[in-house]
Amino acid sequence: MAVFKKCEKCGKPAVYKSTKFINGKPFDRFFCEDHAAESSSYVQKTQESINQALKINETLKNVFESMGESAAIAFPKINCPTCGLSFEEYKRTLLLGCPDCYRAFEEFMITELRKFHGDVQHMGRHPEGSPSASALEPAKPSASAAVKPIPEPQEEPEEAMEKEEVEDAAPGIEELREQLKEAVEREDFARAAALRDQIRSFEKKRSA
Amino acid sequence: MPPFNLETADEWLNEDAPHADVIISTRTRYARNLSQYPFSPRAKSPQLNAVANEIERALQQGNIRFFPILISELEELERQYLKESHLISAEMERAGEARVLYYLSTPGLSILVNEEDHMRIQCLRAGLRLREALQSLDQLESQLSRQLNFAFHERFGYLTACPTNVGTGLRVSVMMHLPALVLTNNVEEILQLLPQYGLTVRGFYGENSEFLGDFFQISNEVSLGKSEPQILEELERVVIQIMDREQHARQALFDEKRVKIEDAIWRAYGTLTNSRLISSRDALRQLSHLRLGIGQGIFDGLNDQQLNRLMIDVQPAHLQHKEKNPLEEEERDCARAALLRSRLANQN
Repeated sequence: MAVFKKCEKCGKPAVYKSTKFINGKPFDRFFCEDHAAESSSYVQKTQESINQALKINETLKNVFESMGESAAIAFPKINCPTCGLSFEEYKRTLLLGCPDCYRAFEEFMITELRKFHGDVQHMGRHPEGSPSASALEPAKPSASAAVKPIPEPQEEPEEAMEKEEVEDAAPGIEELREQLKEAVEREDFARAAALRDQIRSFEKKRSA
Repeated sequence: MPPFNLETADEWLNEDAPHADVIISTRTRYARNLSQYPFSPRAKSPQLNAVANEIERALQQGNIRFFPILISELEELERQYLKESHLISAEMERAGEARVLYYLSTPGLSILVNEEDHMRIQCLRAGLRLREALQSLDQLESQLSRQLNFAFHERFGYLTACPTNVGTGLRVSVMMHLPALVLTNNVEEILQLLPQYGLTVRGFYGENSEFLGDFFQISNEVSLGKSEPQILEELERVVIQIMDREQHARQALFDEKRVKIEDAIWRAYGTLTNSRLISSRDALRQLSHLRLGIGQGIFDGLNDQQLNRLMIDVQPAHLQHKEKNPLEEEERDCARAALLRSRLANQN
């Protein structure tokens, strides 16, 4: 869990973390915007080193910075319909209230997650039997060989023939797949979910 | 499965530790939440209890043998003991409602319930055992996933209370002992590179804990956008490089400054075998030097495994548990010095 540290000079929420090494051991120091910007040589050095990733957590810095900006802009006034958590409260604690918060704040969470992880597309395990496991797999090619590609279904010749019949009867499944890919690419997940359901019902028919 | 007692928490220290000279332990964990409840920090008492009940039922239905430890029913010292054994987090040590530790029969496996997330499925092993630790985790997670409805988003992956854990929910950590890199002032340069690899360094007891005795916990920071094996492999590559650097630094010290390094080791031995009062911080610092002596074949009174155990046994709650009495700070320092003298004297 990310814990909000206070500036060691004034007690305001810290914006900068600097890790100083004393006798080879790292010690963390925390500063607010004002005190980090003050011209003590130590902080100056810290500022430079921030840019070189001396700061252990570059992503947190971005979040803190965006908090600074948002103080002027004001947070979007949204609440999670399920648990009532406001986006503002999330920004203060960095904790969400319930799984539905991710949907309620979805467009903002994309920005948040990009800051923390650099990426916003899950690439790992799925719950067993998860319907969306393959339908919403990212369209982009996997960046790593370690990531297993989605296997094409291996079918017996007889089934393959049946499949052809089904596909003849229902032309457009490939087209739907194409549309799904595009929807995922442009991050239109509502459309993608609808397409996924259509594809699934085709596949159900095929295997029935 | 035999009943759990506090000593059980240290069982992981008994197993063989691959690369024991540099690596103390490997820890892997998955954060998982049940989709129909608020996350634990915002859940109310009946919800927290319902979460714990559902998880316990899933363990029973999955035929998984477990021993439940209700954290809020433990004494403060017992909770501290579990933290010192690296079995629960500092956050979990602050007992909260319906917080449970499920200790499983599979080596190293346990589940923390109602910490920041509903479940933290974790595996703690001695030495460098990344693949084994992830494999046990995967098996348990799959079993539980058949019984429980995990909160999952097609794009964000497994949903967690804090978005820094979202995606795979995986954290892989390796506790490294890097005395030669500290002595040669190289550790700073190496640890500064970690963020470039999506990694970070944490203290002796995990997140926001302090750095003690040349021990550094390296773990992944990024959990979204990479698969679990990819996260593991990326961390492993860096850990192996750091391990190589440490071994080279040890060799260089040994070749070029043998007398100096021997002096540091035997001074540590001298302090540990003669002190009448010693703080846990000082004890860890000296044990760290002694550990370097073991790795280099200079000191053979203890092996790495025995030394790892000693590092845990000199911690405050472990000492008090052994003495069967709460002790004031000075009494602890005295008991610690006595324990160190006896353990080290027996070996020579």
